[in-house]
Amino acid sequence: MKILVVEDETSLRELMTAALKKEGYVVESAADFASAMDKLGAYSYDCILLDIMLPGGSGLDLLSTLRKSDRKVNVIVISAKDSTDDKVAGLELGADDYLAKPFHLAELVARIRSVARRSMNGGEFSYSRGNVTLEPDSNRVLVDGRDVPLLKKEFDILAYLMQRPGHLVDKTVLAEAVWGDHVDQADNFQFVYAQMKNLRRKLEDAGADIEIRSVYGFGYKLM
Amino acid sequence: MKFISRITLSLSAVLLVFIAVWGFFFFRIMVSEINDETDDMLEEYSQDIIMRWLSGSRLPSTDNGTNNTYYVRRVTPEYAASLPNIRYEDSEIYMTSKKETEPARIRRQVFMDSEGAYHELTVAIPSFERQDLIRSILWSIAVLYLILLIAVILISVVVVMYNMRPFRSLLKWLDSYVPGKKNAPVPSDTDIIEFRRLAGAVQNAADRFERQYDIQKQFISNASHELQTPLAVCSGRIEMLLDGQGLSEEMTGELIRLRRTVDDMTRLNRTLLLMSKIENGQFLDTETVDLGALIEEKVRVFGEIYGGGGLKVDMVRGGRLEVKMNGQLASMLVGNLLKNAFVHSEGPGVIRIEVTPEMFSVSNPGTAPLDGSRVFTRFYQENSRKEGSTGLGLSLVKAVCDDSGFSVAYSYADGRHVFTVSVATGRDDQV
Repeated sequence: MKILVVEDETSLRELMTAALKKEGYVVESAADFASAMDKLGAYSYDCILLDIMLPGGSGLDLLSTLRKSDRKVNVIVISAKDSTDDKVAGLELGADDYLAKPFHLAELVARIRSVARRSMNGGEFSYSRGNVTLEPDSNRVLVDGRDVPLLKKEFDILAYLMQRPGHLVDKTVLAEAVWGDHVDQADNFQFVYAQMKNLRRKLEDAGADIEIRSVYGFGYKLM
Repeated sequence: MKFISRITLSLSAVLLVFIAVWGFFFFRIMVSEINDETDDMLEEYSQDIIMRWLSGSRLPSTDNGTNNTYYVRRVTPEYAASLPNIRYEDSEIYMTSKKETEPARIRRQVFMDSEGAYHELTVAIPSFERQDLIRSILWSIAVLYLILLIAVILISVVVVMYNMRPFRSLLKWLDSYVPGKKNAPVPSDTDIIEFRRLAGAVQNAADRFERQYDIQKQFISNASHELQTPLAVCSGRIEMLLDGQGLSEEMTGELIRLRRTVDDMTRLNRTLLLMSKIENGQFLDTETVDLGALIEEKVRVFGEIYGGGGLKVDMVRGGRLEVKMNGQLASMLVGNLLKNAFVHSEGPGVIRIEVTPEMFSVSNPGTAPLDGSRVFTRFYQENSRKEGSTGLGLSLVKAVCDDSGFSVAYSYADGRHVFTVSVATGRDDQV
């Protein structure tokens, strides 16, 4: 899969490029409006990560030109302006997703993956690892084709981990993703452990061959 | 002390003394004038009698309806020579007409008839008439004194109040002034130079303040914006390191702690941005929010996250609390108040939540009252600095309340911190 990173901040561009390359993608980058237009004119990409504020023009203009050219390409808008206006404008112009800075790289990778899956399977998509399949749209988890009933929180935890296989997921980040923004001052993460224990037991009972491993007590990694 | 009371008091103090002195002298002059007049009358009377005596005409009757009285006696030439010709005195005299002794003004004159004999004429006017006159003058002066005093004070109060109208409208404007909001121009509808200058100065100060306020607001939001990319880079690099191979447990731990700190910074930054967005009124869409239901939902979530230390929640719903406001803001308002209660409760205790159709309150146990005047200011944290806490939660609550037209208050009672959000008062203000 070929990805174009359009981002004017050198450091962030490098970082995004490096992280995506590590995931096995082919990555190219553009630092301003003009070079992004050049690259888009000359090559085709599967996915574009688009910053809105660019030297030489707005990323939204780039997006509308792209949509007019009738080419099927996934666009994820990335903006430092965490404003609903930008988000709405971006999505109306045909962006597939929106990510506000600052974001976690793992989050970026997960978004790219889900956007790509969605466009490939015509909207129906699922995550698979080993003999486990997770269908976000129907809230179902299948092990070897058999339904495994999970509670809402257990499902959310598994979905978050399935989108980031092989990555260390900090338990605070996991808690924030599943329980919401307000967990930042929790003294202990007993509520995460409790759900995790049940989830592991259910997966094991169903005969799943994936494993949620604890990493030094800091977080979890889906193997 | 109000300006008008001060003016009234000073005027009264000055006038009280000044008019009193004036009245005293006026009275003295009147009295001496009356005495002069009496003496003149006595003189005329005695001249008349002497003339008649000497010409041998009939003397006037002593009982002629007036209280004047006279008599003539013969005196020796030695007596006449030993005394001045005319004498005035105040003394008791026997009034033949009244048949009793009365105080009177008396004039004695010695004269010589054509035969060379000396006579002394004594003329008297009883002084009760004079005293009556003086008393009534004294009363009039006293009454006039009071009327004058009251009139002067009333007139000056009215005049001052009337002429101070521009000043009062300026004060009213100052009271209604809200920084950063749309304010009416300073009222300067007056032709009094001083008031015009005052209004001008206030307008200038307000303009300057508005500019500074804008700059400050912009600075906060720009600074937070600019921080977002470096923060993203920071946390990205840490993530790259974490995904790398061959990290020891210690290194992983340090990196994760580092990233949590960066995440705290990110959160702080995001909250600041959020606050400036609320203050700029960028949350426009409103919907009907059932705050009671929202509170219940949040209580469930928080109970799961923070309920570890034996904390219990006691919720009393005395009716439905429905408001028209932005959904995101409602969630922020309820979330931050509840989180504050859950996070800052000391030991096992009860969080009490009360919901009525006009307000809701959240209270949690605490050991000492907080500084009520500062509890809603940014970064105010009293002896409770928690790692990862932004110190912005309650000021966010305040910002949401201000934006939605609610009022929020803090109080400390029976060892509990109580936060009350009133919806009704805000609604009235908005109309």
